[in-house]
Amino acid sequence: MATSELKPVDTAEPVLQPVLSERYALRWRHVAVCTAFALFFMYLNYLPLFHSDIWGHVLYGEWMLEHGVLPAEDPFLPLAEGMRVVDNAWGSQVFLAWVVRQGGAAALSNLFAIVVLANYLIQARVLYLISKSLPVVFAGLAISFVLGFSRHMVIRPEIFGGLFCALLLWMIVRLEPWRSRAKSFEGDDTDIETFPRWLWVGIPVLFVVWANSHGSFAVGLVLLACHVLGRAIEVAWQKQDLGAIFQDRQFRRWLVLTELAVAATLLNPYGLDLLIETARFGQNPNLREVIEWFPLKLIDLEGIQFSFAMIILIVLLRHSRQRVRPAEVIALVVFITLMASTIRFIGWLAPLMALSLAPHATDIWERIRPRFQFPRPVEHEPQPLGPARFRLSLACLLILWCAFAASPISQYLLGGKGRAREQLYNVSTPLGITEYLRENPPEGLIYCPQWWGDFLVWDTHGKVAPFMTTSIHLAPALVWRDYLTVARGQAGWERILDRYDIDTIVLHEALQPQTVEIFQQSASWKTVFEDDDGVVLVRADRLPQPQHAPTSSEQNASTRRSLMQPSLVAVAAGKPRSQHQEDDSPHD
Amino acid sequence: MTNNPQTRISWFVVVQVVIVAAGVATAAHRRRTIDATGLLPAFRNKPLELRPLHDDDRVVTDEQLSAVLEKLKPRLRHDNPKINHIDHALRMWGVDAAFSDPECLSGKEMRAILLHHPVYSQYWGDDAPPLLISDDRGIRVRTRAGDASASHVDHTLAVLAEVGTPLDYTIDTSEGPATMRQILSRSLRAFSLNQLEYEWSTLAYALYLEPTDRWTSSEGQEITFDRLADRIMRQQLNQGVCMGNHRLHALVTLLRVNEESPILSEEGTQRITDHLLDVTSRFVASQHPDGYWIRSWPAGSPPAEPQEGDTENTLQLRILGTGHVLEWWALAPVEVHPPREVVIRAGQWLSRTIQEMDPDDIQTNYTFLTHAGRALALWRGGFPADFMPEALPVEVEHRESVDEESESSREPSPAGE
Repeated sequence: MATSELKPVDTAEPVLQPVLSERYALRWRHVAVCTAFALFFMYLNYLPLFHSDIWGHVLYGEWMLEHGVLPAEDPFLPLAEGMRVVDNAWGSQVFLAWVVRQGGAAALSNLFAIVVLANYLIQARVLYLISKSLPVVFAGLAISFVLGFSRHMVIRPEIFGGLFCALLLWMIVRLEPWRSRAKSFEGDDTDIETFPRWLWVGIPVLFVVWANSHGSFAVGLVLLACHVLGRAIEVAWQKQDLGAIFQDRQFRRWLVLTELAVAATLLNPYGLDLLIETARFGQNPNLREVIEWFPLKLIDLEGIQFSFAMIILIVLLRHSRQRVRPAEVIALVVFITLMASTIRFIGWLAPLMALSLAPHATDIWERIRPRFQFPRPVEHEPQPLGPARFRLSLACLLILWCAFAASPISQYLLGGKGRAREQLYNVSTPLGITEYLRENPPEGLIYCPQWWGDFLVWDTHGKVAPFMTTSIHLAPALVWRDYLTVARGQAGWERILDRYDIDTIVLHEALQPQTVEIFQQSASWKTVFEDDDGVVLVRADRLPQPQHAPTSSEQNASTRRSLMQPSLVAVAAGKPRSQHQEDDSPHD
Repeated sequence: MTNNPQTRISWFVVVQVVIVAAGVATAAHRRRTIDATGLLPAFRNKPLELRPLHDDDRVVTDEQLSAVLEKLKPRLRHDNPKINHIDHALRMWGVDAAFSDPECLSGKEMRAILLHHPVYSQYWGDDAPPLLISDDRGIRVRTRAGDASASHVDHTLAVLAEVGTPLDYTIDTSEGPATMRQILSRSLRAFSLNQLEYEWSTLAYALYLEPTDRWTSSEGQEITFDRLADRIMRQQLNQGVCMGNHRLHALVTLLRVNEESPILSEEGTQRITDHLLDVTSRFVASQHPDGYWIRSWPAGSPPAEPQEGDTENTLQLRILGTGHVLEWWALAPVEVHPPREVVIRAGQWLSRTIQEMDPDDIQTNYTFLTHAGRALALWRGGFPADFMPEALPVEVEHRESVDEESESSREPSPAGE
């Protein structure tokens, strides 16, 4: 029997060798960041879809996908026929429609959450590049969020504009006057003249995409122009010589970058017309009646938000030792002026304000930190890179997974039922009304609130022709004035409805209570459907006399509080016009 | 040399100046080009004239027609003649009409009241607000502001087009001389496809504009005659002035102009024809056995006999409805005509009724009656002035001599623009 020599057994525990490098061993502050953004994503993903212009954009996108061309006229606003369309959001609209085709309306909610999260992540990165301070980053994000609060819940191509604006900021903080701030906080004395060459390509490419996605590309051009002017003033002031401006390399770079950006925006289906029409867009007289195009009032929400930001700005500038650079001042003054004339610019002022405050906030924070015994985080003694070092990394992954799993977006991966329509759409979305109109498609134009017009078309699959949609800028001026007269129940509304031959009216209960009352008191109009959102009224003289008992399908036509009478069902079901007219009573 | 930094910077500056200048110039040029789409379309100096297509003495005999026209002479030579009456009388009788009756205004006098402020002031006084008003878009006719103004938007313009007033005709506003062209230009600049009254604008544009595919309104909306026709056909049939008949007259005008110089698409032409056929069938079905129509014509059933106090079946409304219908049928292509007996019944009822009216009733219903009188003349293949037993220059009183002097000194006038 052979014997063998036993080898000694190694009783020591095996040592796991990490594959990941030190940079993946996250710390508590990373856990905090992950948690904050995970919660933010959940919040965004649970926001319901707004009932306003998003549906118009989706409709446009679907139309373009179907026809393979850009619309020359508004395909969904009959009264705007012959009005030229320069669709500066065509790229976004096609993308939105494609997303809806892939995942239905719920996919819009997911897209929104992803895009807005990306926007804030990039803003966070921008603020971190400037400050190297997480408290400043979060303070800056809070200011950006609060200041732009009235804009961020609106799902529309503007969200892509917001993302591109953040990307532009991320690029330009690599240049003066921002780069030297970052270097100073970093303790880095390397040459600030170093120019990232990829910006020569990055910025033009950004503007090509931006110009084909949303008209806010003009905001980016203005921001670049502010830097050109700011640098020119800075050089002229320092050198006391106008001729020195063109000798300054930084000025020349800003100038050429701006020119490249402008040239890039010409790469669109409309060419130069896109820039011209975008620049003139705000002059459209119809927009004077639209809230987001109102001038700033300090008593409004935006005014309070703006005042809050200005107080912070003043306090920071009072205590900051950082030099204020002309480009910052010019950019802030220009954007505040734009916002004062049109409050929708607050969405673009918000990230710029956060960026402008960041250097000063950082400066103050670095000085007051010792007083509050907040030592600057120091790197601990290097410890062996064992499994324990990755506990917090795993915790971050767990947090992200939990946020994902608990969000509606996980439905595609984890299965489950999607959100109910009542949860997916916001509370004022006229779901009952569209259900009624689908089953009882009206003939001809219907009068409806402009903010519902797009949804009515979308959710009835084109079975209604709205008097007005959110494409207000495309409506002839008289049509818009007539729309307002009826919307406010002002004198003459009956003749206007005659003039446009409107037999069906949809009104919003919550926002048009007086108009609803006026119409319901009129003997000429009869309510055929009513729910918590709104009412549908039909001309009384278009209603044939009751001739038959309601069928079971008619009785079940709506699960809501339908006021339909048997005869009303017959009308709404869409008899030929000539048959209606036999019952007309003349009204000249 | 190019390595010299100063030289490089100089070149940089030059290139920048060229780039910026070229960019700004291109943008400015393009903007002007975009805005130029809002420029006015080309005009005909002399408007088209639509001649009647039929001569049928069963509708109205020579004797009946003479008697009717005699009753409808423009006896408007008095202070403060309603502009609405002047408009209608000029449209019925034309510019060349002249009457031996001293109470009657000649065609030239009537046009002078409309287009020459001094003449207008002689009839309405110096304190009356001017009929022609200059504004930043041209010259407009004061409208719907009492007796010294036109009754409908562009009514006067359409009348002047129908009586053949050339665009280079010199007019006098209270602020100085101008031309007819400025009235038409102003109308086009102010026109909105959805405005309340558009029938007369459409008619004037059809007669005055060169055949054109499209033009752009001041609202930025591309206007075509197809689109105008669709707008006209949008409303309920009996809505609009004179039971909706002016809208039908405008559609007929579009069809007739389209026959001479295409202004409609084939689809647009077919839509109008279908619409008029539908309308005609309703008129046929709703004619009263006596031959007249009232406001309820779209219902397609004859009106019941009027009851005491019936405001929907008055003599005034019967004349209004019947005269207008016969007028646009007289100009319409034969394919949209009713059976001729329908026209004969209506023509005979009209001529009998008008002959029986007393002068006060004539005065009260004068505007409606001018349509009836013109319609009857058109069914005899001419305009009312063609059937006048008299076509004499008349002895003129002071005001007329001033008018004639004014006219003779101005026609023909050079183009004002």
